[in-house]
Amino acid sequence: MAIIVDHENPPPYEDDSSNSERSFQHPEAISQLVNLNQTVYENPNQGTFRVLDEMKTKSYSFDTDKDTNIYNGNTSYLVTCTTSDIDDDLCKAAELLYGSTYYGLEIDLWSLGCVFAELLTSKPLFPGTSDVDQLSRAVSVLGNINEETWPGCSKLSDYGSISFGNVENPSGLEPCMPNCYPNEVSLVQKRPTTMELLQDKYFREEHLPVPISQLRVPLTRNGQDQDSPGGHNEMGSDYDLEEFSTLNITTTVLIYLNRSI
Amino acid sequence: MDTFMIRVGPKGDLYKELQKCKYFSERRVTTYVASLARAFIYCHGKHVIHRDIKPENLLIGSQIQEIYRAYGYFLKKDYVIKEKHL
Repeated sequence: MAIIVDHENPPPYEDDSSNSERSFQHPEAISQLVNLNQTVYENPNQGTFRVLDEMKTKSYSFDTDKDTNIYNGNTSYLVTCTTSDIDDDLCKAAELLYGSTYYGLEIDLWSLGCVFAELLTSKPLFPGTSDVDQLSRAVSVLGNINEETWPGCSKLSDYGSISFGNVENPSGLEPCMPNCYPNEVSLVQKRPTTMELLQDKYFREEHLPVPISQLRVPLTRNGQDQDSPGGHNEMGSDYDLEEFSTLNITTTVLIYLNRSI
Repeated sequence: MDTFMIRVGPKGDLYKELQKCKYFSERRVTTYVASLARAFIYCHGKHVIHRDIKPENLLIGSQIQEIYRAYGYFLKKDYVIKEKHL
């Protein structure tokens, strides 16, 4: 079965490439990635809002995965591209909302925090109607974004053209996550690497139906109750990456995207 | 014309599942997030960033599994991945 996904081509997106040695100009906004030798912005290994955390302002970004990132502190990515459904993405990291084309692995972990909050509360964490609206909601919850709280943020592409009123008393994450336990709110506030996240005591208590090492192992029975899979398979290591290559997904479809590369 | 060959989860995406169920239990949410974090260890270890993580782009397998869907581009050094290998 063939599924045709006909995406309307987004309008061309003019990136600020004044800081990059090379510029990729494609009418259809092909995604390109250039590994830079030097980063203009914050070291991606430090993650976003690090200083916010140090100043006792609540932050909710997850840090990058230090253990698997082999890039040195001066390395980052330059991306020139247009992302479709741009206004539909409520899990975008702050540097993307500011139009940055330099970022690292931590943007996926930021999104994971947003997904976690949304699955628990059944509503988006920052339900903005646009990138600027999302930023304004994040600022009112987490506090102001400036060079004092986030060194290097003024170099983000659109930082100079987006400004918000000063937030004296940010509301914090608790009102955004009603009916959630403190350790769940705390998890969204924390800044762990991926492995640190999995080792958090939250995942070691009774919340998981099976130990972490048994996740994604085929079950002995395919029960209807998604909450109680009751798996009994034993796997030796918590971080046996070999099992990631044995996904048992049985359906394959072709998806044609009406976009040129 | 760009063609993606992907494998899909038979239970649809996480966003629709959440709408259908109205809410997820804590155990279920925790399982999804832990599975995603493990997937990140794999992807990020290969220097791949998804860049478009959101419930609509996460598919549910016949058991408690998730894979990433085609929206958003994976970025890896020097080229765009057209086929996903999770």
